[in-house]
Amino acid sequence: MNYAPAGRSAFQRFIWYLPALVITIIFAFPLYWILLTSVKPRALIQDYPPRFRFSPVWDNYRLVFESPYLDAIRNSVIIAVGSAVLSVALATLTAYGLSRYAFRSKDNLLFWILSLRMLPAIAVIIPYSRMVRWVNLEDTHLAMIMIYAVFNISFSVWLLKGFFDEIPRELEEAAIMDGYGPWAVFGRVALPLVIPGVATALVFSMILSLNEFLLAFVLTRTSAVTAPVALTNVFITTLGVNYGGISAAAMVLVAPVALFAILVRRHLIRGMSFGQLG
Amino acid sequence: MATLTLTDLSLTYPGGVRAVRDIDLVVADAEFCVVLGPSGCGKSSLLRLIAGLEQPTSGIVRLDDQVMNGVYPGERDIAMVFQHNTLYPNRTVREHLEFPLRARKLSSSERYRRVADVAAMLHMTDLLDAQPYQLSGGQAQRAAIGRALIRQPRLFLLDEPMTSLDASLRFEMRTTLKGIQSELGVTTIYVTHDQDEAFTMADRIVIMNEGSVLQDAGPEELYERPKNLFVAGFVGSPAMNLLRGAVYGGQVIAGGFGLPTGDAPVIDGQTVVAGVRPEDLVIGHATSGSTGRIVVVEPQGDERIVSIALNDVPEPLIWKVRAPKPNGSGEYRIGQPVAMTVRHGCLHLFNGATGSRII
Repeated sequence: MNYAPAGRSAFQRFIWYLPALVITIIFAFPLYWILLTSVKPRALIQDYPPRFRFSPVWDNYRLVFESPYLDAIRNSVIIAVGSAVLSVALATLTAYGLSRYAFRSKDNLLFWILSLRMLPAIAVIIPYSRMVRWVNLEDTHLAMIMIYAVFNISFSVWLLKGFFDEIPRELEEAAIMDGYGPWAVFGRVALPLVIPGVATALVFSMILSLNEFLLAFVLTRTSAVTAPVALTNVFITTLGVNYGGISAAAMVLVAPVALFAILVRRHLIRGMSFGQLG
Repeated sequence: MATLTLTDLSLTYPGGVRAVRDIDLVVADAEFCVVLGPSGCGKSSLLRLIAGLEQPTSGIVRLDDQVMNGVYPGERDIAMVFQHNTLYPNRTVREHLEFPLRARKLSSSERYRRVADVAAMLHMTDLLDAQPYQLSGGQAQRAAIGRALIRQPRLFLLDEPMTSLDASLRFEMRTTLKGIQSELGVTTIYVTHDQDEAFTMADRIVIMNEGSVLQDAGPEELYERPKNLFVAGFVGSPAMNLLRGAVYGGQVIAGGFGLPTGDAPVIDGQTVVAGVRPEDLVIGHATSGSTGRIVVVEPQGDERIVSIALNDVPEPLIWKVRAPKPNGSGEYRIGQPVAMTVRHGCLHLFNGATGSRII
């Protein structure tokens, strides 16, 4: 949808888009900086004023792909996808129930779900590490998937409840009259109409898991180490900080999320505007 | 195809609103029954109770001899068309028509045959592959009606299905709907606040207000013998003139009229309300008549709706009369004095205290 005044002069259109342009530059510049640093020759990285013109080198990417960092990315993706799917699946059912059925203390339950998000990770890190040890899941993908799912579910429940609330009840009642049971009404009528919300919840859950550092730092050791933790292990050593390596590693980490976001961008735009568009 | 019986049916919402109060109603097999009432009168709640989308607080819903209380709506074999568009944005017309058939796990050849039949009946064969956004309001409502009728339900419920359509389309849809209903012979309950819809389609009209049934009769009886003041004032356009007055010496004295009570069971001094339909007023100096002055003349094609101010009566009297000859002489003018009386035998008389009909 284009809200820019059509048929005006190029200058007027430029003024219209100017704020958006400024915001985009502010947000995109760090990404650009990291991309630049990842291909800078090592000798130029710490130069001041910074250099923007140089012949790119690929050593840092070679280093990333030869280091154990790749395993960490694999771990990150497994954990992010696993926890996103688990939390969004549970959140979809929870949000539907909260949207459609009246029951006692519903508001309290909604607030309690939201309050999960207010919990700082550092507060629960010791109990979590004990709990994980008790059930013999230390340093496993499963443990991280479950813990991230708990942390991310509140966001998804609230997002998806908003989507379900917007579906007119009559759409579902018509299906009930047609002879469908509650599960079929959910699966055939309600769920297809909230796909944009589901896509948004999946992307956000994945991003939150991929970026998480503290819990992963404490709860993983070798076999389930995630990318943000590996970043510190591999590139910050007693020999100093390898800025070029960290930048290349960061770019590699951005790739899977960006790819997924591009695939579902149509739904994402609707999702982030809470179904207000089109 | 079935007979619907409601016994002592009530619905009180959790907030304490008594939407439906002690309703007893029988809708016979193949009958077209219209539930008519102002908005908020509980007519939609009544329909939802029959459908099973609401559970009654008390009372019994029966379809033939089968008690429906507690039966899941989808298993009652009742179809319903809702007030608002209930088409799914991601499905074509054909998929909508097939939707209830898939719930019953019909074979694809049977589905195909039934879709073709219903589409032909509703003149929608060309639109089977259209998406909802490509349909006009009338086409969308036809698709919704087709979706309800395709599985040949025992009972067909419609909740103000024409509210969102424009006037000419409503007229067309009324004819289509009535035709289909009598052809299929399906028991139908149609809820509306529109009298024209009610009177053109109904075999029987149920008037509701504040959760109760006020009269349940055929269209003619409803118009000619309204059972109480609410029905008298609600049915008819323009509405019946209602003049509050008293009985004195065998006459109803109201609005300057002195109308003979005939053999009505009334006593001297009793307060009554005299009801006169606008088309039952006639010009003429009679002893029973009253005089007034014309205040408004509304031309309506070959008719005039004339408002007449009477002495000592705040509301003007409404008179419906054929338009004068086109040469312009004899047109009604504002300010013109008129003397009128009530056509013989056309007086409705209601009890002034209870509002129920006397004659």
